[in-house]
Amino acid sequence: MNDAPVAVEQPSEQAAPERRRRVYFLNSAGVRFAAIYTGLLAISAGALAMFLWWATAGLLDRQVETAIRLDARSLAERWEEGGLPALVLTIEDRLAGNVDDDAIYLLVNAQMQPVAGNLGQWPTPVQRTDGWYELQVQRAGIRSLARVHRYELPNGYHLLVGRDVRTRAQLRQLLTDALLWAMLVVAVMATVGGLVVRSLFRRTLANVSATASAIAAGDFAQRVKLSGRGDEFDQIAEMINDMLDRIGRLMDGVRQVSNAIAHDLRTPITRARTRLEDAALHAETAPELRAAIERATTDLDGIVAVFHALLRIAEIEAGSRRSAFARLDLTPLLGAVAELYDAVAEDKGVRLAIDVPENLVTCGDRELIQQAVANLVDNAVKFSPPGATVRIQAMMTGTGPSITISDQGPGIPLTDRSRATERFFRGETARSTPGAGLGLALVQAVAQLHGGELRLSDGGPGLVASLSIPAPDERRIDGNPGVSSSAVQRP
Amino acid sequence: MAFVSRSTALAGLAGIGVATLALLSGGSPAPPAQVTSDTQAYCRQLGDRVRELAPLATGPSRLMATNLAVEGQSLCMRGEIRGGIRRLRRAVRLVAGTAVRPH
Repeated sequence: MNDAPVAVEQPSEQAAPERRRRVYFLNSAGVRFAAIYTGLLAISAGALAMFLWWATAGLLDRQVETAIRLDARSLAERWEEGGLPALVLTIEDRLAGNVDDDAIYLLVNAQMQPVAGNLGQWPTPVQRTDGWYELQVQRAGIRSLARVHRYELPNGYHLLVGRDVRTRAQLRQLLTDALLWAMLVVAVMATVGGLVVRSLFRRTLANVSATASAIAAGDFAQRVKLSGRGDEFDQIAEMINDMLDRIGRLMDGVRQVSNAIAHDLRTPITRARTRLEDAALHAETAPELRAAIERATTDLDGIVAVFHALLRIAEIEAGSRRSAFARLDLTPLLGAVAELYDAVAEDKGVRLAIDVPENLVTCGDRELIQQAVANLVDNAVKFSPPGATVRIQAMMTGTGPSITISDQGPGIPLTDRSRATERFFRGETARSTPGAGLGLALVQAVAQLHGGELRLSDGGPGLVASLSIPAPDERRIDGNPGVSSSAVQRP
Repeated sequence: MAFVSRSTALAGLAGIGVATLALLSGGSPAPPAQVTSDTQAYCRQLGDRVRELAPLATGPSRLMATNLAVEGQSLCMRGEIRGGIRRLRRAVRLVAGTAVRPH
């Protein structure tokens, strides 16, 4: 038993690094989380930068365009009022009063000859009237930039109105450069942040991975550490720990059963063999031989019953019987058990009293609950002295029905009470009574299957066994009457 | 020999690429438009305008305009055309007495 795990561990230790190397970078969940974080941060920062650019540099452009439109409209009004001379005079006046030194005007005739304004000739690229142009202009030997718009006037005249935007262009370039550098910084920060996110993710998972590796290596006592924050990772860790606890209990149960089978069933098997061997060697008549065979058969029947009980407990613990859960009334069930054991109790001189409400509805497996109650009543009657009373009581509590079987026998000492539900366990007080030590183990399994519990307490004298079966939330029975007396007295 | 031929082929491809880009960009860029209001002649024109309008101005604006005009012309003669023109334009506005400034 101890050698097999060692033989399995070596291949898994060699295989683990191979499996880890196969988790390629791009398949890593941590990389995906980091990439999502980086992408979201970059997109958010980019959107913010675009809005800032539109709000600032875009505003500058819109202001210039508005100014040019207003200027052109007023010039057109001057043309309508006074014709060409008025327009020429207005353009000259505006140029003379342009303290900001940013106005650009050019009025040309149908032959594209300049009539007024401060440009030497019509710029060739400016052909259309439905768009804005950015022109390179020369101002006192220095290159500058102008934003201009073309307008058509009557009689074939063309008007160009614009503004020197060199300063604004510099400001816009400054802003654009600043935003680009900011985006670069954001990209670096996003990458660093992504790496941090990946590191946090891996560190959190490393805890779970380390625990899983330790368990795979054979250290079943390992549990996933909780951070104490109560977050989703802690919830997963708690679920994993609960699962490991359950697996541990099941493995202990298997180990215990294996040991118990080896010890406790060896005796009856050996006894049956001895009887058959003795009969084969010494039986001289057919009746003697037949009797020996019948005794051996009885011993084997007992062994088969033990295995049947073990299998039943295993089936219950596997949880497959949950599919048979249905709505049931425990009152007639308890009545049937009491009726079943009434005769047995009478034979022993034990009084059987039942005190249950008129109905006690819950949801579960009728057969299993009946078996569990029968086991408790069987134990109570078996261990009660003549003249004692075994009480079967039931009531509805806040969480569901609770069934209590109390007797006046020797009870179970406190030191043995925690082990009483182990398979094949028999306390000192039970050595002289028949049984395989599986009854309470089955009751415990039924209780756990239904999400309830079996509590054993001192009856002073005797034992009080309480089996609670919580009702499911969606089918919790409200308003069920409490205990109402319907005691069954037995002479 | 193979290296020389390979290098020559790469250089040829690069040259074709540059020429194509030049063609696509529409050839050589247009020369910048000349702004005629940044010249000595325009300085003198603005100075003449101030002299015409100054007698019509009253109060301190006349004196201020005259001073600005003198400064402006001085700057123009020193070659600081745009600075001089700005002062002359302020002088024109002062003596004109209305906001002749474009929108």
